[in-house]
Amino acid sequence: MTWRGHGVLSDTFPMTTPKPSFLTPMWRIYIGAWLVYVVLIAVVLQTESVIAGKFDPMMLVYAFVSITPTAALLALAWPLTGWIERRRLALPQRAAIHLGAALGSAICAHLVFTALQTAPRPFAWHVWPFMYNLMIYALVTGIFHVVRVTAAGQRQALAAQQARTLLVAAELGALRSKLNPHFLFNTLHSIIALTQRNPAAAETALFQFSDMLRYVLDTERAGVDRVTLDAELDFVRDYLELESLRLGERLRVEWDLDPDAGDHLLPALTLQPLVENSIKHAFNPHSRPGLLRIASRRMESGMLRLSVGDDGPGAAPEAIAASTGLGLRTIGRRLELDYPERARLAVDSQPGAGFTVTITLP
Amino acid sequence: MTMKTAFFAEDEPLARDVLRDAIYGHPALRLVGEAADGATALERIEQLRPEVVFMDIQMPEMTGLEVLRRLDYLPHIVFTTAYDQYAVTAFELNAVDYLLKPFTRARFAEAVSRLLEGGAPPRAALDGALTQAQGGPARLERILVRDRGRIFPLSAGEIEYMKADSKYTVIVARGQHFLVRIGISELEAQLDPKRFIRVHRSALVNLDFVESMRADDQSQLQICMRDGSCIGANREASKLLREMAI
Repeated sequence: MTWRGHGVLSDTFPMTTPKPSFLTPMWRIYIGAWLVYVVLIAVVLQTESVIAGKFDPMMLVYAFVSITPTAALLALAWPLTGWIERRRLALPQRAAIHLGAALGSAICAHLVFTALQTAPRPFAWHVWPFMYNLMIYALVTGIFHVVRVTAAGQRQALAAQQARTLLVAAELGALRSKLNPHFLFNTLHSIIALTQRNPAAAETALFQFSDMLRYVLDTERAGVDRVTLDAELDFVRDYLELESLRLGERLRVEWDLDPDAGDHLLPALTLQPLVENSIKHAFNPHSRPGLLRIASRRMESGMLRLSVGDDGPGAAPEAIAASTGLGLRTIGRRLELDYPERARLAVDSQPGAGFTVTITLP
Repeated sequence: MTMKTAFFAEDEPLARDVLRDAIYGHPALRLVGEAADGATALERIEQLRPEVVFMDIQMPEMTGLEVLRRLDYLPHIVFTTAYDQYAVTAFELNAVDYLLKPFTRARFAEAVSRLLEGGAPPRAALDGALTQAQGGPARLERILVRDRGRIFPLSAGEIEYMKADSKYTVIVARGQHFLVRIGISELEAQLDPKRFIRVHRSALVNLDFVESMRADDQSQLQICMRDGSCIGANREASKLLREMAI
């Protein structure tokens, strides 16, 4: 007979016959191994007759009946090993539990085996089958533990891999938040326009653009991200040059820098977000020209004070505190993490009176 | 060909140069005025009444969207923007023209010829775009699609399935294929998840148009649509669909 039913069956009932999921490959191997063992025992018990060419099928039944209860009983060791692994029990506890369970299962299996004996047996006869049951318990639970530990290891590796993927995504997210796409595409649009009108200026702008990208990517990658104030100021200068391509005469910048502070170390991207914040709130939404002031000062105490201020619309302190924007809050949080209790971020602003942020750090 | 009067509003000086050159260089457009901020744009557009307006979204004093909302008449609008996810999605879904900066002369010419052929989008389309652009993603009931210069409203219930084609999405409905310049994930986010199932990375299927589903040897589902085409579902979607079946 040719079997054609399978295809038809799965074609007709695709939705209602999900695969039985309780027979995992491990259990198929478990059952298969015991069946092989049953056949082996049935053959071994009558080796002489088999050699003589005779095979008593009743021996198969006998082997099956005497072995299956042990196999079924030992299957219970699977949930037991699971429970032990989940509880992360210590070695003595594990040993105690397994010893108890081994004795219990050996006694049960042995009772079944004894009941199958037709002739009475001397006491010494019981020792080997009993020992054998203890050993088979050790073997099966040992395998179960190995399977569980391996599976857990694979899950862990998978989780670690996912964590790495998330980390990369987070880094890209950070990059996106540092150089916002609006700035990127508008700047590229301006540079493309410059290539025809003023190729030299376009070239300069492209170099500034590439320096900016490199600075952000390098500090992003380097984990510990301290830079000198001079490096951060160069970055801010590049950034402002590009913004002034977009904003034209609306953006004027006044620098008031302390020549002694250039080698002071600070977290990368501390100053630029303050500048970007001003551009966003004081320059982008208004067509009248504005003034941006950037100042640095090394104080007598050795602390560094940086301030970024504009003459834009400003805001009331309550409005700033309630604002949902992340810019200032992120910088404050970073300073807090980097210099607990020692760094300060202060906002000085009133409606109509501009907006100045001053940070002080060691 | 009669020339159309054109106006542009853009705050960045170099971007202004780009638009000015592009409009001057186009045989079908005659530049009648420009503005560098939203408030001036509103005033001058109402005064000059150009037929075509190119307008940046992010502008000082007033955004381009706000200008459009307040205008007392309806010119052809082409929005220009560097990056406004919500707005671009809204424009695409309502067949409102837009240009993403930076844009080439070719893209500019394409947008112009599209508006010359297509006629102005209905007020309702612009209102739909404005609401969506400002309110963020919402449940979508209707998409305006374009085919050879004409615009069709397509209700979500008519959409049979969609396939992603790099940055574009092919929408299959009424036995026709419509190409929209918007990613399949963004569409998915705005459609009823009970009706539209993402069967794999690049296909979104309306269950109402599914003829049958059958399992292949890997027990993943082959979804056959009423129009005869079949789409393979991935593992997750197959699982989801099986769970949905009683």
